[in-house]
Amino acid sequence: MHSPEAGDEDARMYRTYILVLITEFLVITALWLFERAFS
Amino acid sequence: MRTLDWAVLVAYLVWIVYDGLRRTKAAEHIEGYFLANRSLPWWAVGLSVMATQLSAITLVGTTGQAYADGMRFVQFYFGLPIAMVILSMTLVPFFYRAKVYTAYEYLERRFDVKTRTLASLLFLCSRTMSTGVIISAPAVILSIVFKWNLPLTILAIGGPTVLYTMFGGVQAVTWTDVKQMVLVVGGLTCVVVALILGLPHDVSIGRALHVAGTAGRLNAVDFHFDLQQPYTFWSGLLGGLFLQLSYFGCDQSQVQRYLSAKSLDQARSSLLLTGFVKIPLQVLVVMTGVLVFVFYLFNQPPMLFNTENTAAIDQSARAGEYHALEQRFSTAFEQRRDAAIALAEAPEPDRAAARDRFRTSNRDLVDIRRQAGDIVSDVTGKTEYRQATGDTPKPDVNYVFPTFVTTRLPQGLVGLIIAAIFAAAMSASAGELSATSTATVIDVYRRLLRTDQSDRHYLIASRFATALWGVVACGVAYFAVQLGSLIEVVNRFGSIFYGSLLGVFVLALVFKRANGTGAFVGLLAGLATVVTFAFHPRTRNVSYLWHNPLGVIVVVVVGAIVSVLTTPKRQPVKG
Repeated sequence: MHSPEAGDEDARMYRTYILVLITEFLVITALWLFERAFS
Repeated sequence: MRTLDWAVLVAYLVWIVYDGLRRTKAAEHIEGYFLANRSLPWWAVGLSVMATQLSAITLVGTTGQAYADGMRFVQFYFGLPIAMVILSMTLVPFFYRAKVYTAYEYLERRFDVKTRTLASLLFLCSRTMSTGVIISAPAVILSIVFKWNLPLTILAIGGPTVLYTMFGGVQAVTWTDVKQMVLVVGGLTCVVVALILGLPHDVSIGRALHVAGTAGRLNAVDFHFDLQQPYTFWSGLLGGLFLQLSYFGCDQSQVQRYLSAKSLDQARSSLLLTGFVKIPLQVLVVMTGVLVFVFYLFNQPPMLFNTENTAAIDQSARAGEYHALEQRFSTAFEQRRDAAIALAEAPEPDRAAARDRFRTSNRDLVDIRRQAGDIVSDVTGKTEYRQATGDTPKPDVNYVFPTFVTTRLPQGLVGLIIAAIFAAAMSASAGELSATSTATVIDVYRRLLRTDQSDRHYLIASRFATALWGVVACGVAYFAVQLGSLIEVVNRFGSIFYGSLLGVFVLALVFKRANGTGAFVGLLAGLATVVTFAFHPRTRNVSYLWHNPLGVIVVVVVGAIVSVLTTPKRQPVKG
């Protein structure tokens, strides 16, 4: 059975997963904008 | 290399071996040796994971590739953050909670011993060859650039690595990886600063990047869908996703890292750190290559960076023609430099004309380089000089970065960067050595040969296995040089193996009815299909990144069908 602490830990992990994906989207967008700005 | 450079390099080697050996006390039991007693913090594991992946081939080859062909290689990593999230949610909890030493141990629990053994042996074959190449590639380059003795250079990289991995186990590998990672990133940052400071005073970095963009060097994101282009947004995101899932989820050199973390959440956090940092880190690597290109727009580069054929050309009948070409190259360089300065300084209305002038002068320079490559090919018989990566002869690419470092950086910094190249090779090969030793002892020796021995016995066997694989890797490194094209064979072999192996783990997790026979037959079918696909004349030009999803699909489909066909039907209960 999950303890309340484990539930908090899972929620923190899910937030981190979303943050990783958002960061990737931002990095790829920044690279694309960088390419367009200097080409 | 001058005295201060030698001092920096020797100090690095002595310090890293000392740092590795002082971890020996923590590796006196097999769990300490292979898994660091599951005690490592997430950030150290995360940095170690990245250090194992960032070899000297990446450092030297990728910067050279960016010099010749721009930033497109960074797309190779677009699937990585998604893979890290998927693995943190799926395989990592399975492995961590199963308390296994190797990823393949899990396959026996789920299927049978033959599937585990086949997977482990595939890993061992692939990694032994690749560890040899990890050591040989920088050794060859450094021996040519510095005229060092090749076997001694291989020993200088491989010897200390084997020593600290053999005695300190995964503790030594992880903590030395952390320091080596800092050295590599610090070294690259110093190079970037030196490159920016090396620009002409009247050319700003922004203007210089405009020139690089005009030369097609800032091509970081390519949305075209083309199966034959090795690096596009789609091949990186989809093909790369399967490759990274397989590499981080099924390759013991990575699995072993996060199994040594303090807790499951720390194991997940270490992978997520990789997800955050890996693409920006690769941007730093490719941007270094682009800045080297920018530097050589304003400072004359050699006509060919790889000098190994200079003596042969000087002694050949075509020496005069080659030296005349060098004169033409100098003139063409001056014209391109003037065109680059004009483009950098051009106001907006004049920029189109300045761009055309720059492109024409750049084409002239590239054409002279191609002719030089043709002469080298005719004189030496090396046909690869007629092939190009971007606009640079293929064998020249790996020599761009070392040539810049050794001829343009100040004393001391040269030693630091050479130490960083050593560090990249050592951290990548130490991780592989530790993993091959674990798979040998846990999956083969302890499981099949000597099943009931003491912890001490297995520890000694593990150290012996590490030393043995180290010697084999150095031997492969030496012969890889003689065979030349082996590097390509190893890369293709890796992509054949990874997709199929991931397929077995997907089968294990997703299909409850999958059985050992299905998994074993599926794995063989996946390997056979990908081998055929990789070498068949009609399909061999398809980018190797697509081999990974193909392997997964074949293993899962064949494995599921065979499992259904071989599962005995339940007898109806007679009432």
